[in-house]
Amino acid sequence: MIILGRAAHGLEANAVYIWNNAARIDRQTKEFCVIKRILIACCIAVSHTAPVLAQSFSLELNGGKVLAEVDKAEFAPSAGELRAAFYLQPQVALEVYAGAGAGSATDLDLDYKVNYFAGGALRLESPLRNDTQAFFLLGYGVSDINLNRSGTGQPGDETFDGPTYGGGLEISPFRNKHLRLNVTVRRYYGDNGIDLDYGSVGFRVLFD
Amino acid sequence: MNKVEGYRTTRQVFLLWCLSIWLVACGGGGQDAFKDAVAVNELNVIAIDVQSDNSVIEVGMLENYRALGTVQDDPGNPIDVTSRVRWSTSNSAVASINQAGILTGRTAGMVAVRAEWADLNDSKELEVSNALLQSITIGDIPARISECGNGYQLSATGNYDDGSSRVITDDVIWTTSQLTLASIDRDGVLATFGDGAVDLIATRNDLSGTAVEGRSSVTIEDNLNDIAVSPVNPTLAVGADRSFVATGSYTNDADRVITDSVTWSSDDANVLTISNEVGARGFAEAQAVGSATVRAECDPSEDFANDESLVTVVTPATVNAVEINGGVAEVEVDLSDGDVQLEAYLKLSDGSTGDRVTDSDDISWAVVATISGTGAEVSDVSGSKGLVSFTATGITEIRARYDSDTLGPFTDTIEVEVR
Repeated sequence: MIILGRAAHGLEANAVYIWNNAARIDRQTKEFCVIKRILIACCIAVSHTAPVLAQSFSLELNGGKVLAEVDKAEFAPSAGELRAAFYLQPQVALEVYAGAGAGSATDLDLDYKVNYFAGGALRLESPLRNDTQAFFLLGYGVSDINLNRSGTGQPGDETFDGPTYGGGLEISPFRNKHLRLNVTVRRYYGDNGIDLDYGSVGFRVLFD
Repeated sequence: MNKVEGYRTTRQVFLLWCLSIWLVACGGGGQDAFKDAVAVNELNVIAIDVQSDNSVIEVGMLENYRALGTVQDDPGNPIDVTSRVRWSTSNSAVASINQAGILTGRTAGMVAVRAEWADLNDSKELEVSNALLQSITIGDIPARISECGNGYQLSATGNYDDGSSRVITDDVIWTTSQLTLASIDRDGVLATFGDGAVDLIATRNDLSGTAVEGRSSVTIEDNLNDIAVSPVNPTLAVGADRSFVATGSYTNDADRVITDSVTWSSDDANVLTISNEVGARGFAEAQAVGSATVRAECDPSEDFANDESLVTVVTPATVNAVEINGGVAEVEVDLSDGDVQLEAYLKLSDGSTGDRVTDSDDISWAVVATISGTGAEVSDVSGSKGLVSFTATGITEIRARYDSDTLGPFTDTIEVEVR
């Protein structure tokens, strides 16, 4: 555990170094700004939570639909996501996630594609019955979207970041507490006419 | 880990998470680009065109820029997208432009004025000049200016100390030396009310604030012979309106519509009102039953420079009947003709014909009797109401009954003879 903690602190120092150097390279690029901050945020988080990671963690693979809006235009590409949760308490976990989506076209001659989304969230669980629980997510994430107008390639890739939140229900099939099935609805971005929601069905495995 | 340590750790992680969120936050971006792309495709715009009235302006002057979008399905009718595009200039020290497309010239120089909307863009060169205005020339003065005339479009050309000149019609203050005889609106359009000599004046300050005046003397001819008001003696129903037109006849000029140059009046505003408002001159509205005289007058000093029309205002006609095929009693068709369509119209109390109601929801069609031979059938189904079909000769009486929430019931019958 001590070794893990030291390694994480080393990562943090490296991240600060990367940030400072990266800032010199290009302070104007917003996407780079997001990436470098996520990098350092993750390193800090991992380094400080390392001592408690040994409690338990889980891995989840899910798939679903992105429900996106850009003003009046609506898109619904399919997407998939991988989530890892590190439990701090029996019902409290810190999650990191990353996912990607397919393309989606509309009759407005616009192609919409989720290049990736990634972020982290605090996961709070509330048991309902022995094999069922509700959970809530509150975090921060980044979504990289490509919009292609009439085949022009414009406006292209844009990165949106902001608070994320959501929740869902989870069951333990076969009465196996290590295997979970869940349905989740999350808002990954919503501001000024640009919305990105994600509804998914996921399979989660818990490790003690 | 005991319970207390667990809570402490959770609290630390939560605070750490808040810090992480602060670190990650870089603000929004790209929203406008995405929304513009959607808007461009929503309106089906394939190109934009930057337009302005002038390619040269003086330092300190404003210039309105417009952006027109070419619509793919209707390229001949571009739409105004001025407020949607993003305006910029190549050198904001020379000229700046706001998002409403209003440009301000700041210092002398050349700039490109650019409009962008999604990946569409266009630009136009503009010169901001610090040349001093020296004189103004009034142009496009008609060879003949008739009294009680209007629509004479004048122009003003500014002459500058660097030898250049340009049209500044919209940038000068227009007036005349005798406003009782003639006036000029802000767009440089001259209107005359009487005859005589008058000076046309265009004024503008130069960059130093000194007023520069252009002046041109003209003579308004005394050549109006007569004014004719139309329609002549119309009848209007209470609540109805009508636009009157005044036409001037001239000795040595063509007849011209002078509706906007005459003064309109009604001798009984309780019965009929008539407008002298710009853009609505000659527009009359019937107020009550009675009669009123509408008068159009140009030059009060001349007896012939006016005309009148007596307007009778009556009670509005009301619907009092429904008629099949114009009220005829019988319609004859050959057996070989196939189906025949009957038509029903409302009739008004003044004898005029109102709306077609053949297929109205408020009308019902039915066969009343078979008078001889084999009877015909009439449709009462929406979309084909009044359609008569038959398979053999005979005479059939058909009825239409109109009954709406506010009118009726009215009925009419017709005999359809199939030979």
